[in-house]
Amino acid sequence: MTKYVFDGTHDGFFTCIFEAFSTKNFPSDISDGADQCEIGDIPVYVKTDKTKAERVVAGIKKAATKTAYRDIKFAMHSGKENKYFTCFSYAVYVIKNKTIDVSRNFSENYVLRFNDLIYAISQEIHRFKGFIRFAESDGNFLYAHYSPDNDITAYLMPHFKSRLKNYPFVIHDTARNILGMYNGKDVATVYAGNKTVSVFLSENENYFSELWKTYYNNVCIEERKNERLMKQFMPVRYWKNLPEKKDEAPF
Amino acid sequence: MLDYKRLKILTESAKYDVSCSSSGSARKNTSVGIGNAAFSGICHSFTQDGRCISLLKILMSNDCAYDCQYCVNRRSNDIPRTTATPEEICDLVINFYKRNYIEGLFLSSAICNNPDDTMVMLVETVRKLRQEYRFNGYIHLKGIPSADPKLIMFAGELADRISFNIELPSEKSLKLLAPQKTKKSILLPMSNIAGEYKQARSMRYGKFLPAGQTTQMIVGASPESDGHIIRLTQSLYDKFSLKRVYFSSYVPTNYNNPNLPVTKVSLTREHRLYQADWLLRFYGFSAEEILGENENLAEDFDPKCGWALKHPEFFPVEINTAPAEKLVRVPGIGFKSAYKIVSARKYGNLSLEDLNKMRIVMKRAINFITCNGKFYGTENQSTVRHTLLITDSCALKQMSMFTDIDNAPAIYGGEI
Ligand code: SF4
Repeated sequence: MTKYVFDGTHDGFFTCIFEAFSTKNFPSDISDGADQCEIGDIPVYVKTDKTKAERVVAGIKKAATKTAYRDIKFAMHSGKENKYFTCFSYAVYVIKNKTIDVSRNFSENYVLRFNDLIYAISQEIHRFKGFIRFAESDGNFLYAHYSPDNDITAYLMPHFKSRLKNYPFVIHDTARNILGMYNGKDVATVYAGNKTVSVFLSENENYFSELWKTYYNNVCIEERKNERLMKQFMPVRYWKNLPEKKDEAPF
Repeated sequence: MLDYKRLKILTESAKYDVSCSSSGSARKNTSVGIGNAAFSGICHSFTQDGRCISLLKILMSNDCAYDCQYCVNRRSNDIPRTTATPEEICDLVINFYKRNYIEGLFLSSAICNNPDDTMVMLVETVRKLRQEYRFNGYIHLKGIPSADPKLIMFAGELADRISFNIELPSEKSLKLLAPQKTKKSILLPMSNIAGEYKQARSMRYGKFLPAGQTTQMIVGASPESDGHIIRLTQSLYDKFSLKRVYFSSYVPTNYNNPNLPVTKVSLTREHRLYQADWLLRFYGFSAEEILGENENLAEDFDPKCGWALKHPEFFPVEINTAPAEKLVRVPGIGFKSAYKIVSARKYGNLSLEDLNKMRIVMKRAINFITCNGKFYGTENQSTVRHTLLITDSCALKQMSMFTDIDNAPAIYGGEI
């Protein structure tokens, strides 16, 4: 079973598609090298080539609506293990059927699976516009930490920037050690490698998070309790970063 | 600053107002300001009862001069009372907002002294928030019936949404249970706002209530039928261009009044009303199609299924040719499925297998559709009915989803 291994970059990914079409050796999986190959895999190492990548991108843009290319770049932010292969299969399907735009053909499995990735990421971005919790640091900026399923920090930054405008803030994805930073003017999203980030909170902080908990605990109508529904909307795995739920979080 | 104790009092008294939606406004931030409003609304947390928390929902005061029998804050009820200052509310909003706990404020109040004094206090708080604290997040303000119309119009320039609550679905019940309120005192300001709203839209001046007005009524405290309630709802949408009508199942808070039930009203009823409301607003149904004036909605299946069972002549609907507005009348096919069908059939005729592949749940729909002219369901009416019943009991487990429908992204998965 052929398995493509590439360097994890966008150009690298699109180069893989070029390789597949030019060698006619379509892989059954594709990875960025982060995971080990299994027994039976025949790894093919694909060397990133910007020119080849650009040709593929142009091909996709020609074969389908503009959103298809944007969607592929977006879907790569998925936290799902099989994301590269799902995107790959989708792109191949779109290019192979270039005479009609099939990028929205929902009766096709490639499109469905790809759409699941997009849906999950978009849903998580929407959720975290609500579930991000900032705390005031003693350095006068707001700090939030969270660990989303997908790599979405960059997509949250514009939302909070326009909202908080005059308050510098940091959004920290602790699962990937990615920091989204806003200094009151510009936004940057950086990977912090294996550095640890430590933040000291202002004196006020405890008072307000306790007030918020008071609010949360009193706004519920006792007679209408429905925990199952609450958990469906606000999955338990997110609780550890929510002041109102932290005490109930299982880990 | 509000302390825990007073915040608790003002929250507990406000929680029975069920609307918490922050949608419908796209207010922008200013260069010196804080906040904006997201058109589709954002949920920041969910309560133990599964409702979305989007706004800080709080009373300015619970020290009420009135004695509405169904309400916890009624004069004759023995509860701790307190009143907040405009500064206290503003501070709390800003501090909650910048921590991203909330999307904005839903400010309401009991009647403090009289309607005008109360409305002055509310408007002053909102003015301060907007003009001194430069807050551009979402503000939903409760209108106080019988307050000076000038105050209400000014409030409309500052807030995103205003609601006057209908409270009870008939004048008779109002008289009986809320003697200080009249139908006119509630409907008049609603109609004023509707007029101003229309004018502001047509002349495009300033910002007048970008998210419009809504209302709420309590269901089950008084004897009105669902048919009556849905007709009233429809006429409110027509007359006052309301954005939403909310229903709130009565929760007993008064055991001394023989005119009020002492057990809580089933949530199923509220849920069915929301489904019927959904049919009115989005599926092109009229109240008269849904049920008769004195009827109640079926407990056992949703109102769309109810309609389908009564209208065999409308079915079966051909998946490959029916327009979208016909598709969504099929039990089990909602907007999401209709969209998928319409997009996919451009590429060729859809078979039953295609529909399954597209993950369109066929259990309910199968008896109401044809695929390329072929019918796969059963003609046996009692089997059809039975299938609808079973599938609905699963759907019911997700009940109360509809209470905050425009705030719950997950709802798009819930089709009726
Ligand atoms: S006016 Fe009536 S409904 Fe409103 S707070 Fe007072 S008692 Fe309650």
